[in-house]
Amino acid sequence: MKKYIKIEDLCCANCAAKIEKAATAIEGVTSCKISFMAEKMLVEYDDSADFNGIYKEIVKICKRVEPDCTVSL
Amino acid sequence: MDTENKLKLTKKQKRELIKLTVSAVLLIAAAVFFATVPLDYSNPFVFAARIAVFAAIYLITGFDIIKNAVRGIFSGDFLDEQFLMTVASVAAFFIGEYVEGVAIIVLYGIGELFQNIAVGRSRKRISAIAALRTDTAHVLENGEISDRDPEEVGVGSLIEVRPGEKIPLDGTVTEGFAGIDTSSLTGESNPVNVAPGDAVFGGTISTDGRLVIRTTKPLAESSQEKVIALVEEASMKKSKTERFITKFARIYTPCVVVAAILIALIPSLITRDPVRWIRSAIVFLVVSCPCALVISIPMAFFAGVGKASKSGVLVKGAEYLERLADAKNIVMDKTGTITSGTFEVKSLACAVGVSEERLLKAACVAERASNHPLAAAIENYCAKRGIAAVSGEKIEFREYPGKGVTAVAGDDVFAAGNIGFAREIAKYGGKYGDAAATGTAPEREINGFPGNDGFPENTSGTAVYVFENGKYLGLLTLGDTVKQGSREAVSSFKKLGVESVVMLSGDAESECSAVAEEVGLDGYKSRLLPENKVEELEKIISETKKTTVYVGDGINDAPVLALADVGVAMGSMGQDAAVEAADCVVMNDDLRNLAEAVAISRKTVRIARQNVILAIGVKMAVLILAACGISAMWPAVFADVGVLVIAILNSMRVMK
Repeated sequence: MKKYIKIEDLCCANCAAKIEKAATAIEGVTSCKISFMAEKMLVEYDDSADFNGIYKEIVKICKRVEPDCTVSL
Repeated sequence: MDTENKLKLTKKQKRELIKLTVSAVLLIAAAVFFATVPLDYSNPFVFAARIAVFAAIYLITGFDIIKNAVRGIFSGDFLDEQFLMTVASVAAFFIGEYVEGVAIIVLYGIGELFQNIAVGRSRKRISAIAALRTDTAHVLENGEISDRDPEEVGVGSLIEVRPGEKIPLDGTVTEGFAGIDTSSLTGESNPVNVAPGDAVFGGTISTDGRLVIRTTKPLAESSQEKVIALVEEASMKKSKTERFITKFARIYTPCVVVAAILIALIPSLITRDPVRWIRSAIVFLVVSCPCALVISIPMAFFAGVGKASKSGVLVKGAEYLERLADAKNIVMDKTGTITSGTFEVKSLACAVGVSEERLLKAACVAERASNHPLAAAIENYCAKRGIAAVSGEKIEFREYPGKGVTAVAGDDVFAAGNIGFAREIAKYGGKYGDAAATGTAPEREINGFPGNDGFPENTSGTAVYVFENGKYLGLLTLGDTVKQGSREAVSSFKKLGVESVVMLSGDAESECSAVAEEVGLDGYKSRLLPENKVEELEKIISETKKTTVYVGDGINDAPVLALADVGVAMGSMGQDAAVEAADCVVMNDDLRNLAEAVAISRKTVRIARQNVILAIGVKMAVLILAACGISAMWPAVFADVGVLVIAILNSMRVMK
């Protein structure tokens, strides 16, 4: 499955890379790519995985790396 | 500058700007003031006041940065730039360089703010593609119009598009005529005229007419959304340069930090001159952030992809843009890519004693009832020359698939067909049809031909041989029409440094050689089956070992597109399969747009490389100087902030 997540107000590409790395490590996530310029994240995850859980994790990661950013679906 | 382009700052940016301006002004004032006061350690009041004043100024901008740095330590990765800047500035204070300490943090803040604004602006400019969207669709229901969000409009709904409005969803025209401006999707500037029954695409503009459209796709699948999604996704497929930068950044920062610590400790112990070497260490920390690179490279590629999409070429990943820039071989399909796929009469060759008019008239009569594309081309040509088939007479037509046609008008029998057909006519004579059917006609002498069975072998294109009552009148040579701009595109490719432009086609040798010559190709292969194309392309790739681009229609060419370093599909607006199969999509069918995209890709890559060299070069120079003990704070700050500013400005040049 593929899903787009909007991440606004990301201020640096380095943070984007950090979020990318941390989000890829979430269980069930097969790949995670962030377009820093488009302010979007594309997550791919196993069909069996629970997206809500993954989403919550991603929000947590984003808040940790960059408290000023807003995450939305 | 018009109002729309004016710098609009967010609240946060405004706050930052005010803070930075205040700090900068106070810093200069304080620096000037304390320069007049002699540094007198014996007077504790002056000494303390000095520290207090600079510390206060420092905290105006530094507070947030220190806060973030502390948070960074707790979240487990403390090697972030805010931490490093904090350490550098605090260390500067520690060795008594108050002005420098504050300056590091203020300039860092300025750099960050500038970067923030620049990124925001280029996001907006590039998402001019997002301007493909429109907020309302006028839905027609039971004779009434209601405005709705295009997202809520179901497939099969009727919507109205008024003159000058953007079409909100893909659909088919049911009512009205209009000129459609498709430039936002295809880069094509001439309006396309549509009438009931024609397909229209979301994101294009009806320039002058009111249309009623039956939607064929939901918003998410409409053309404009696809374009936007592709451009955005493109920046997720990172280019080699970007991957290099990410790797470099990962190694660079820790190395520089370790080096800074070593420099602060070891030479200090040996030379007993810690201030000098701590200064060097601070320089190391200041230039330890690879910001300029990390931000300017993706920015350049994103801008490149955005710019290409404005010219009607969708590049589906930054990596493809990079490969396009490096293209050395361009291999193209013929029909639909170089040629338009419609035929036209190229030349006439009359038999001895036959006028062109007689030849054309006969051809026209013979072909009139045929639906074959060649017949249409012949008819068009005759009409252009003012020659019409004699009408009024009752004409009896017969088609011989794969061979030709005959037409019986009164006592006269006209025939037109390919070389095989011509040989049979020569054999059976005027009453070809009956004779061929019964096989009873006696073999006859070939009359009127140049020699025994001596039909002139045409040299270019497809030949149609024309007969009247078994007498050979001459031949018409037809060819596929080369698209306007194909030749220009090929010479642009060459100018851009492409070494060879070749064509692979399933069509006849003569046809291919004519096209190859007309557009100035370096070579061609004819009569290829689809699997032969794969072999030929493999051969080109393995022989040259250079970046190879294949350009085709995207539907029949899927395996070849996949094989090439960059697979380009032509004229694919609204064709999902083609968009899916290709790495790069030319929305309309103009090859010149592809040449434009290659030019854009080269510019993008050139700018990205300049930034890599500039940023790494300047930082290395500063590091080497600092390592030798020549530690100048101001060049270090320039190496960090100045290079960042220059690199970002340079990246934004891609859009120009």
